[in-house]
Amino acid sequence: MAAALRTREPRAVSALVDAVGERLLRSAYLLCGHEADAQDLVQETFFQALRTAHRYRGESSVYTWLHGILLNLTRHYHRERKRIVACETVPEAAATEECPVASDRVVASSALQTALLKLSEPHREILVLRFYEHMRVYEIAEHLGISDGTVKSRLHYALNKMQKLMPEEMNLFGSRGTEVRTR
Amino acid sequence: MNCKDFQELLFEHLDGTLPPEEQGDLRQHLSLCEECREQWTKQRLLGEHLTARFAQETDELMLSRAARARILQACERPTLWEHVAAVWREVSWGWGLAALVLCGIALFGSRGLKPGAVPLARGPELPVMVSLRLPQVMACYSFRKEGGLVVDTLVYRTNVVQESLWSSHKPHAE
Repeated sequence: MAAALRTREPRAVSALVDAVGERLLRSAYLLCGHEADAQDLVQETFFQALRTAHRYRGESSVYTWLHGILLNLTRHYHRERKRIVACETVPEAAATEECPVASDRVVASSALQTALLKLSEPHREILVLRFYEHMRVYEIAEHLGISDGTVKSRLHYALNKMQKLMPEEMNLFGSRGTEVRTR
Repeated sequence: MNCKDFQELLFEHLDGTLPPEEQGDLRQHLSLCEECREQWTKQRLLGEHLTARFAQETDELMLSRAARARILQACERPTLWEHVAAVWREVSWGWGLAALVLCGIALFGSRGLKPGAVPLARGPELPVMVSLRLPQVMACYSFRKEGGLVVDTLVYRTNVVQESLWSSHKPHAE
């Protein structure tokens, strides 16, 4: 896959986009909260990867390297735009007799995105890397360039915050949440 | 292992990355501590719930055709480095030739200089008075009478003569 970026052979790059493009897009969407912007971020990720393919040393997988580029671009995106994505209005005709749950699903998705966007960037990144990219603590630490302890404390904080932001959905486990208790 | 230690290792335990000894201690603590067991269950279920919600939130997203087309178009555009390399290939022979000519001028132009001599900037060629000290060797005969004989003696004397000449070139600085 790295060779595809270096040689810029269209078929090879197309195969790479097919292999990882959608996963990157979904990660970008969870990080920025807007589908059109997520498409642009993924495009820009590949443009930058084509320009800097000679810098890829093979120390991580190609996907991890591309995701690192995406993270940097997303941080830049948030700094530049300071955009707040409001809940999308639920279309009134979304629920039909055949599919009465459709409108509930749209509302739930918006609630998740709204809650995610209320988290700070570092906490949002941690949740996406943990629960969408399925990275372990040491992998997240390496990817973000922080310590394992920082990853764990951010995870604790983010999960607590999500429980408060989405009480009906996340607080199925009582009021204790994820506080650290000592004896 | 106490509850605080357990909290520190909870995420690694969920990841399955703990070394066997710590794994054993943790399991033993879980078997004895109901609160930590409950905490472990909550974290596990929270994680599973968020994983499912993230997948549900994004499963219909697809990279647009326009985005794919633009990415493939970018493959055909040269990078800045390739552009610089292409420009260099076109002009490098001319620069190389110019560099050779300059080196040649510098090399052959320096042959007229004495070691240590600093060539002065050449101005207009005006006549210059040059003062020279020239040694002149003169043969001198002297005669003397000794008894009935005449003895001649040849002696060489060196005289230094100072003369001034007009020169059409400026002298080199030494």
